[in-house]
Amino acid sequence: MNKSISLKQDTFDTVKTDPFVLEIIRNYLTTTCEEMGTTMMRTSFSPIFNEARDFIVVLFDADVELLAQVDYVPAMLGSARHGVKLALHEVGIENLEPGDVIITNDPYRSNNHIPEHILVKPIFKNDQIVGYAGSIAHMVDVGGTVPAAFGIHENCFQEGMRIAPVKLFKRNEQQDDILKLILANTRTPEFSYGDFMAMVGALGRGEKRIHDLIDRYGLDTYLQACLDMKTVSERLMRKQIAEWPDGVYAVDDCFESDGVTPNRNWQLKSKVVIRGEEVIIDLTGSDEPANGSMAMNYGSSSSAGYEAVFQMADRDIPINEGCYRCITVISPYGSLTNVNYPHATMAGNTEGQPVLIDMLLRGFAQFSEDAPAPDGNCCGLLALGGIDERTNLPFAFLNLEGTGWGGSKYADGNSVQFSKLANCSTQSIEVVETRYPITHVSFEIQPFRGGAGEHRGGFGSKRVMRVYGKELVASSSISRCTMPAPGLNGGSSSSVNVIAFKSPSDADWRLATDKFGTVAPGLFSNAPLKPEDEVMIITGNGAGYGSPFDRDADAVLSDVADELLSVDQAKDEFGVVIENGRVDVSATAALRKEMKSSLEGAVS
Amino acid sequence: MDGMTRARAGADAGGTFTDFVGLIGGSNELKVGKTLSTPDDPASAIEEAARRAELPIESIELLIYGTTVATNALVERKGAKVGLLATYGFRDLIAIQRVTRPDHFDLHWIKTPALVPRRLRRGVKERVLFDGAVETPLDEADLRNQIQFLLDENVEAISVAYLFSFMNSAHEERTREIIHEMAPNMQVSLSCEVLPKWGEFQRTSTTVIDAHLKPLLNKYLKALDERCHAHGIGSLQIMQSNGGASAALLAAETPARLVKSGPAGGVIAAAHLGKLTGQEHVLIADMGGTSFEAGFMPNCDPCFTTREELEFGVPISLNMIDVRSIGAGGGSIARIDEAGILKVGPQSAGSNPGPACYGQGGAEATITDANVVLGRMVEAFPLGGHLKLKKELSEQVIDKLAEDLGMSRTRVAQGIVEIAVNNMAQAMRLVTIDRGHDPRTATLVPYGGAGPLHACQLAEALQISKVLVPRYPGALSALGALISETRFDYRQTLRMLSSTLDVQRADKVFSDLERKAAEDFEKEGFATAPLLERTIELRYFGQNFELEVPVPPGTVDEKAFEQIVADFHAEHDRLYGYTLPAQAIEFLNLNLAARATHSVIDLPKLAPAQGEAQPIGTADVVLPGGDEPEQIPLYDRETFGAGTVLKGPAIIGQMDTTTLLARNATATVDEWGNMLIELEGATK
Repeated sequence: MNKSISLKQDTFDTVKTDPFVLEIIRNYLTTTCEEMGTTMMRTSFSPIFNEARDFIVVLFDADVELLAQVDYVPAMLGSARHGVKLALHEVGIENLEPGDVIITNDPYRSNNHIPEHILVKPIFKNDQIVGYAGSIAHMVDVGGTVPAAFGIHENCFQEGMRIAPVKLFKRNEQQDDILKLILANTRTPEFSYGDFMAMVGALGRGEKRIHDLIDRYGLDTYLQACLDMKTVSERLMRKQIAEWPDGVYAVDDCFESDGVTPNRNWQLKSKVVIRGEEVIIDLTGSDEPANGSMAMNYGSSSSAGYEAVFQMADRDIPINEGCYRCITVISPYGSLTNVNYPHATMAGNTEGQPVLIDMLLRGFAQFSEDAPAPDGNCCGLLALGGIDERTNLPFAFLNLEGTGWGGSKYADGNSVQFSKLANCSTQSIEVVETRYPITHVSFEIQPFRGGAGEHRGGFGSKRVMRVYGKELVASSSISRCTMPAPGLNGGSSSSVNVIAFKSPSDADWRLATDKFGTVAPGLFSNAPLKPEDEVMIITGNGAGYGSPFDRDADAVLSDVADELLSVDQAKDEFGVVIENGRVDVSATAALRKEMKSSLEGAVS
Repeated sequence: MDGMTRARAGADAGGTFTDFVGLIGGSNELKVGKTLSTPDDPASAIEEAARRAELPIESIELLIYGTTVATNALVERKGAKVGLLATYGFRDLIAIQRVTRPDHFDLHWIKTPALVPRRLRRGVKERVLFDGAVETPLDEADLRNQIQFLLDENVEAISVAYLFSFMNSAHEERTREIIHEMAPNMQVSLSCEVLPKWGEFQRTSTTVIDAHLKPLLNKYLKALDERCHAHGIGSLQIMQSNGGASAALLAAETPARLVKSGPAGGVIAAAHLGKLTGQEHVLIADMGGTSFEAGFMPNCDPCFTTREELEFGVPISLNMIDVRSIGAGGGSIARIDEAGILKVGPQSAGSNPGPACYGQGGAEATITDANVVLGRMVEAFPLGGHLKLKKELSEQVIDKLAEDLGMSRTRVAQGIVEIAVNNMAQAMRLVTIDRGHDPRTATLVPYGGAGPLHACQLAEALQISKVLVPRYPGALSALGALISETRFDYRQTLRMLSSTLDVQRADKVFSDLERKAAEDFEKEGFATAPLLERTIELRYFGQNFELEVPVPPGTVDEKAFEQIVADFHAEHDRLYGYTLPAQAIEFLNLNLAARATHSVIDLPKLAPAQGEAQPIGTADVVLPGGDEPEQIPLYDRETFGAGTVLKGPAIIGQMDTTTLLARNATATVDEWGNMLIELEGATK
């Protein structure tokens, strides 16, 4: 039996730690997280985790409250905040011993989705728990019906093996029985084992650094600093929220398909409620859970809520539990954004969060000029699997993409950048082609397809890959293929995402609905491919901000010079007349005047 | 040689000052000079600094020069108008980057623009596959069209980066031939030569940077070389990012190697001093006016990295000295944030207006102002020998903060220095602990104008017990240039799994690299073969980061690979605490470092001390942790001899810096004039 040791806050306003020491300890915790992250990247095996950085590391205090984290995938903040606490309490704080590591991946215990594995280690000092080091990382394969996990399913059992919270290590001893059970249920056991070891190594690093810190400052100072750090952040966050005007800012949107139900979309309702120093994100009123995996659990939908608030808040506020004290995410159990057991949630996390975040930012845009227009809402999730004939071994490859970001009051959106839910990286083409039976035909910026505005959306990318091997299958979790996101303040909507296929016998690119008879063009599992088949992914342009007719004509010309916009598009979309590589100023003025008045006419 | 005693010299052109250190053959005296830099005419500053050092310029046989000109051209994007030829369908790699952003929650970050605009990035029909096989032959007609397009756009240099050119370079080489047929004087950079290593984004980015710098550096180095020759200087060499020197005109052929030319000298000198004085490991702390650089040298050998980024999303993946920079210098500004917390840096007052005490209108408190308030910078030693500091102005700006914080002036000044020291300590942890090294085993070598002032405190924060203050901390980079070797790095990707190991092929690759090294050193004028160090980068199959392990001497055979694998497991265990003995191993890059020294330099020695050191006065100083000023002795470093021993607390002044000796410190001056400070009770 052991006890966690933490101080209780007496009053909200008291910060007892010397301000210099507080700043030093806070920096120390942040660099410790960076160090843990570096360890994971250096030693892990799955490219999605060491190239794409699909993981976070977190330090908690003795009350399992967040102190510091690295921000590669804040989409996991909900799992970090809720999932870790649930896991520890299920195992029982009183049952923890030094050197234990708890593992879970269960979406029904507030983990975002099944490939993300939570590992958490208690940190002891003098037989008492003084904090926890945690790591959440995306393993490329978790068994289930689809290689590399990203497929469309109808329940959680098809998605892979759920691991309830158990001890993977007891007193620093690896639990071989648990590990064997887990590794027997993945297509890539060697990689998964390497990944677990990398995570455990990172947790050990965090534990060591907290011990060093306590040795340096003493336990009392450390505990007081943990408390004060949260108080400072809470105070800053409350001040920030108080600056936002009170009100209820409602926005509706939808998931265009769940991948299994024909001809139906799934309605989302959101309200950003600002009330004094608190913000409430209310998702009440959204549809019932979707039948396919385009649905979210609470870990996932609450992450989206937190992220939207943090993105709108002052960037100097250190993010820790204190910030969350003034943010509430309401998402009723048994709805599209908090599904009941045993619904599938795989795609809903990764393709649902971008939609939800931008929907909430549109709520913020009702009172703040700092909210940009939506991005292309796409992570380009294509999972390819089969047998690599060069080695005769199964392979599981997961593709990721950037998308065009939306324009803002201040600037055009960035081109080809990871959607707002995460900060993952694309993988090297040369690494992918060496490791997997894949040859790229092209990977370029996709020229203009939408998102015109005074500040236009950024451009998406276009990737074409050819596959080789045996028993090839393709699964896709790509949404917004039919319904783009709207622009802001007169800007045009984003452009839709595209995934299409072409066999040598096909005359042209074909959508999966046509070629494989799927319900949705971008949400499907295990479409059979043959060697030399090609797949193309085009991610959307971000939505525009402000009227395209107010866009600086030279900026339009510059896009034309960069071969990203045609002369016709310059005219039709922006009202800019370009002759012989120059802007025709008077013709442009006349055309814009005419287009504006016809637009006004159409509106009235 | 006309009977004249020939001298060797090192010079370092920084943003503000050009430093010069000369040594006349067989003499026992370093000639040190400092003058303001003249970026448009670098030779003038060298001439002036040499004059101040009282060294006749015509007596210089070999001048080795470190410069920030390449870095500055890149940061300010003042290099050439560059075209890029890429594999058709892949021209946007440098604009797409890796699709990441520096701060996850920042909605308004603007992506770093590519060095080459899209219009000047042209696709060429060709394709090599992962194993070097040609899938699409080079379409020369298409290539000529693309080159003509770039020529019509008046590009000044062309970079060529095709996929998998490190496996098969024929298409890139043929491309250069055709470019030169069409434009004989065009500067060309090929990715297979600049960085023959997998990772198309980093390779392309590095090649583009090389082309961007080529015309400028060619012109700059050629002019400098001619001017040096006109002065009768025997030969001019340039410090490269890898800490080795190269003949100026040869260096101009791959200017991407010169990006860290500036800080390289200091690293080399610190490593040299560490070895000379018998230190185990060295940790550098280079603190100037605006930035702080930290680097760790295990066994006093410089550390290198290939993961440097010029700006976010603009990698330059050549071998460079591994130093981490943060915005913490004497001019870093202290401010109170919204939560009422004091923050120091990264904004800097620079040299204009500079800290408030410069009296040039600086209205914000800086680290220098805090040190002035604490009495640690004394009037007897004006900055650079001439700049007088105005203490009352420092007090004014610190008082403003003190009022807002409700604290005493002294406490605030102490706090500013403490936070700055802690920020520096964090950077030092990242170059030590983050890479598996324990800083407590290292000797701290502080340099730059502000390094020695903070050294004892920094050592305490890192629990380091030994500090080595060089004889001339302000001119250490120039000294490093003076003593540097000639060095080139070569690398070639050769991917093999433990199951598909081809030892003969590996041996052949090393032989080819060694032949290339021999040719290059011959071009540099060496009669003898260079010293070679071979390493291999490998990892557990599936990992994405490699560890670098030495390759045993002799023929690369099965036995050599057994040793390599054993060393790899051991290193993985040391760094990360575990091994995976059953996992396949993936070999990736074969590296060769080739080094040679023109002639060994012996640093001059100091005369033995005549009796005990005598203070030249006292200073009222608030020591770290103290609340009130204390009267402590003030020394002039010029009065020290070899063997001088001093107990702290004390302030030691010299022309280019001030050293604060802590209460628990004892300094001993060694035979070369360095001060070795021992801190009692620092290591826990």
